Amino acid sequence: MVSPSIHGHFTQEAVRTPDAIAVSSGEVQLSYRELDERSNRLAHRLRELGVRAESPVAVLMERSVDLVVAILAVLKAGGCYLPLHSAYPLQRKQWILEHCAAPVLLADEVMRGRGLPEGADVVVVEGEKGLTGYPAHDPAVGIDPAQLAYVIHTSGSTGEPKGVAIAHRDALGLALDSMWADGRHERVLMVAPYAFNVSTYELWVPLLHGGRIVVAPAGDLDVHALRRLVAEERITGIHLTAGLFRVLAEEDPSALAGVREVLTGGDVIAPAAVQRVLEHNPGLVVRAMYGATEATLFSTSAPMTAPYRAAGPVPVGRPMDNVRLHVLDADLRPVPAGAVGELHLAGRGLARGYFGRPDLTAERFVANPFGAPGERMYRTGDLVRMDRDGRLEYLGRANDQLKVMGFRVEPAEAEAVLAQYPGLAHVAVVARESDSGEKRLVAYYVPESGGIEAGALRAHAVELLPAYMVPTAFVAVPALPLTPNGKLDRRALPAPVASSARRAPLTDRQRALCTLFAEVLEAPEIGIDDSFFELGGQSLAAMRLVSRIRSLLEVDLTITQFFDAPTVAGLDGLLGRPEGEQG
Amino acid sequence: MTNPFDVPGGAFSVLVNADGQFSLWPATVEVPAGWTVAHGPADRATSLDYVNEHWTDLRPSGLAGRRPRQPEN
Repeated sequence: MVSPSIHGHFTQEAVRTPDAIAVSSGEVQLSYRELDERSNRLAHRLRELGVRAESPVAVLMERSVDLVVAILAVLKAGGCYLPLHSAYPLQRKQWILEHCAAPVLLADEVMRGRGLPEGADVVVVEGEKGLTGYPAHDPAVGIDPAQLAYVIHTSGSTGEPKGVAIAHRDALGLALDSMWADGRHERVLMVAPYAFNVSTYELWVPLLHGGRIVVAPAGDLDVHALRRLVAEERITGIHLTAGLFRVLAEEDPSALAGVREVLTGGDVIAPAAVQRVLEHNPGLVVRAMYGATEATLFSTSAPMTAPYRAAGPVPVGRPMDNVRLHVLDADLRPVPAGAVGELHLAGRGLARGYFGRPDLTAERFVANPFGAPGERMYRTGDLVRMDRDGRLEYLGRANDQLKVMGFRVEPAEAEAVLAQYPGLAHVAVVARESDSGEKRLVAYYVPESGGIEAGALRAHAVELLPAYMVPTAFVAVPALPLTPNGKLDRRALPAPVASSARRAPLTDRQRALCTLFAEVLEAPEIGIDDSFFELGGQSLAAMRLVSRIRSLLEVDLTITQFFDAPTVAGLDGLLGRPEGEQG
Repeated sequence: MTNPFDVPGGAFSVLVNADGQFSLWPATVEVPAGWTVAHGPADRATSLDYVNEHWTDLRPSGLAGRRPRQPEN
């Protein structure tokens, strides 16, 4: 019998291969039977706490085996999981928890130590702790396929995050697509923040095919750590954002040795990066993916194999099973092949809508003139072109939405938050792109009178926005330049510059570090006290830098250490005596 | 290219289908099969206010066990 629920499919795998490893993290591992039983016990506990059909259960944990237990348990109890990003400021977590009225919050000790949002019953999930009194059998709660499985929040232009509500059948449609059938995703590295939609792939593709989730250690990963994990854990399937894929291609393409299929997307994919990765890994399939959280993660895919020559943009391919694509003009009529239009998605995976926001739902999920009567389609806001072979090419956004490091950012949301700062007359948040294609956000602001310290405005932003939405530079301007049409004239905005007096490098190693900083930041000159992040570096650039420092200076350095000491002087001190002697 | 849903000052209808789902719709475009006009044409803000007022439960009406939202104990 075909199960209508995600966890029903998981249970079928658990019956088929009870002793296979379902999830592992370093030394910790659970077989399918163990994962099944442990999540059953937690599900009973959640039922006892009042979780019923579609109760949103918040999850705030580090990436771990326990996290997988927690998410599975929420589904088995009939609820839907509501992942909170650990990097969100507490206020944003609190807002989401309240907006969704989540009765229960699943957490771990690390997150509890950092402070939890209030108002829900907190259950700490840690191994078998507190669970042994609950039965190991499935609570067997009836599930309707149209029932919600999860709510994932994305950036919203109104200044508030939007919760995309996805049903069991949508997630199942993705996880059971025929593109996974050949087993290339047998061991999947769980590496994305689980509060983002990629977790739908990282969790359910392996678990619903008898494969294994390999959980990467909590915290930030660098190129070196990724290489080690891929090799030691014999990873066969992985998703990398287009930005991370490019960094890996340029810094260490053979880090993917042994991987059978790499999925990449979320932004424009660099053709040269695909070529370089395939040159170094001739047996590998690189799959360009296109999709939206609102249509359950992925809607199209384009496999690429060696020999591959970078020529023109990377097409994002053809629709996955039961997905229909409509490329429409300004009157909602289909455009001919080769013409540019806005992509509308229909068929498999369309979300129910935005949690608690009928208005936003009705304006994005609209009547579909090309489907069955009464069907809806999702307006993606993406401009695309369909070639004569039916392959889709992604051209950019029709509106202001941005992708920064693979994260969706509505500049209007960052602007709305910054505008709350007292004494601010105008603010504009724009993306500036470096030569290596990495985007960073810059805030331009006009104070009402007197001055506003850039540092104070940054502190305000850090408190209210997720880290990837915080501009890397804050530039005060006397007025925002406008085009003759009265729109913001982005080209007339000045490039941010660091203003403080510089201390020049004193030793060879400091000079070498300054050169590497300047290279990665594409800046002419670096002082030893300049913060990498205040000069516009973001986390992908940091990965690049750490990788180069490791290989050029032959030292051990992790990305986490770098985040703690992001200046030349700081790193120099951290690295201790030269010649790589660690003290 | 401007999407007809984002035209400033445009006139919109509010459509509804058999599942009780609502859709904003440009008044100038033919209503698709399976949808009926519940409101409008009106300006965008008025139309969305109507949606917020009348679409109080986003669950499709075919969902088993659908009932008014209330705290459960």
